[in-house]
Amino acid sequence: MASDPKTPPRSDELEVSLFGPGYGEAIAVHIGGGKWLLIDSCTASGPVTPLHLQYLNAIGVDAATSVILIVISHWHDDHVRGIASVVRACPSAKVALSNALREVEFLTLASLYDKRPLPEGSGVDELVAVLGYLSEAKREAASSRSPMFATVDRSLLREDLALPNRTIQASVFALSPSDAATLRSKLAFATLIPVPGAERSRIASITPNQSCVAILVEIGHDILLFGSDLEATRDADMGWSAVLTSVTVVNRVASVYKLPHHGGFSAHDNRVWTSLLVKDPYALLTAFQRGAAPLPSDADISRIVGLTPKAFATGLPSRRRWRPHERVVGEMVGDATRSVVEIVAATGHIRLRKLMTERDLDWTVELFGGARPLPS
Amino acid sequence: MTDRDVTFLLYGPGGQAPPAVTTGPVTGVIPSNLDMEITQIHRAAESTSGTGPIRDLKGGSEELRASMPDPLFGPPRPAQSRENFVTLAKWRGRVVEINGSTFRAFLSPIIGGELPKEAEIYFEDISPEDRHLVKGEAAFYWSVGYLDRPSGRIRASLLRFTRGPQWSSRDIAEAKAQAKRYLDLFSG
Repeated sequence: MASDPKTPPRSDELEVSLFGPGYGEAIAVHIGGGKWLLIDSCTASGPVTPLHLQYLNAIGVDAATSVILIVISHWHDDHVRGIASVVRACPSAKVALSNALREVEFLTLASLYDKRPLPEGSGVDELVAVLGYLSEAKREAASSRSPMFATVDRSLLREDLALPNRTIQASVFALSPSDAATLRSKLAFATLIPVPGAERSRIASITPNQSCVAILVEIGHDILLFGSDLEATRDADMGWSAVLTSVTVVNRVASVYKLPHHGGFSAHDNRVWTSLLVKDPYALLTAFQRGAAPLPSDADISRIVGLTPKAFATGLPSRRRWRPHERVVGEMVGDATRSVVEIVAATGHIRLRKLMTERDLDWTVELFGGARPLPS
Repeated sequence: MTDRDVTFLLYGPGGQAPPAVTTGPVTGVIPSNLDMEITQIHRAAESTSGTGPIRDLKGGSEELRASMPDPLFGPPRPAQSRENFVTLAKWRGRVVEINGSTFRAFLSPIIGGELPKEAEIYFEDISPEDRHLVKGEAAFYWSVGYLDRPSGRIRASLLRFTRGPQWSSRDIAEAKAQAKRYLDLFSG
């Protein structure tokens, strides 16, 4: 029987939904009892409703009352597109941001572009909108909307969920950034603050990405690991190395893993697979088509499917030679370029569900749109 | 905007181009004695042929030149001094990577409605005064089309990097004060 994407989960059914249009990702997690957690945000294209909000609406979930936690894992475009509208649409939700974004250096950058935005986008516009909204809410004495600042081993949520015949506990922990990563980010943001006379331009990304928020979700016996874009490093105090020495991960292994940084090698740490995950976990990823090197590469896909037979992508956008409709346009562009390719998007949705009542029950996987198992 | 709207490119002193989306060939009248900073204004054309009078977005029908103040347009000039730029395609670009004599960029269509693209563009096709602006994340606008002049029609490719105004000491001081207010608010 074909899957119906508009069927909501049962009250006692866990769900992990990952959405990806080829540039960006958004995650919705049903933790039970009709309560939802949202991580990051993306849109199919342009300023439209984020994909996870569209999905909740389609399955009849009232985001305003059912979403109880929003995690903004970091400030890059591909993780925050539409996040301000998510925060506004979910007034019951706590909002968690990276601790690195509490630093005065980042807040100064955000304030600069709040006052003088760039037409083509500064890179922090969504975060500026979130900070502005939360400030207004705070001033209006809605103090519960103060953001939480995520750092290693911080509890972001602890909720007792009333299910049919039982109560179950759901917990959400931040695994990063570490103190060292927060300090490193503070210094990096300081270098981005312009001096008087400098030309206004888009804010450059800070790489490697060490200050994003990786999340561990524990619901009854089930553990889920969401890697954001956290990268691997030999520095014991940074990235996945710091996560591996955190208190939260002791005696906890996850059966579902949202691969960090779109499955790229820079975020791969073999110790994560041996220490933090069950054997053959469900590994989920979104593609990234706008970097210097598109992710995941063929080598990344080979590595991932060598680690688990249960790997899935929301879609793998393809590239094809551009054939312009007008000869003149093709000739002029051809004269100025060495190559031009068109990027064919592949928006998809991976949905994993399982009943909480059975400890050893496996997840059910449903793939919608361009979503597919790896290798494709 | 409708498919009869135009994105009108003028060459004259001014700021940077805001994003705009439309479809189909578009035209505009360019005073020939103004050059090189791209200013973009939006007008709705009576037709996309580029030969008819140009209407204001609010619905007025006065001719564009008559509606615009000096010194941008100046006094009416003889018809033969005017040029039409017929835009066949236009993209907003963002630099991804620089590779010696070329740079890679993502192109999002503004006119033409095609799929996004990735292009490797030669530096030699960038005007000398723009080359220092070519760096990671830099934004540009690229239009290709025809430039109709009294002397005839020529093909034209216009790729210009956006130039943001400069930050002032006041901007930075105000931002630091705002950052402190955020800190106080979220710490309290």
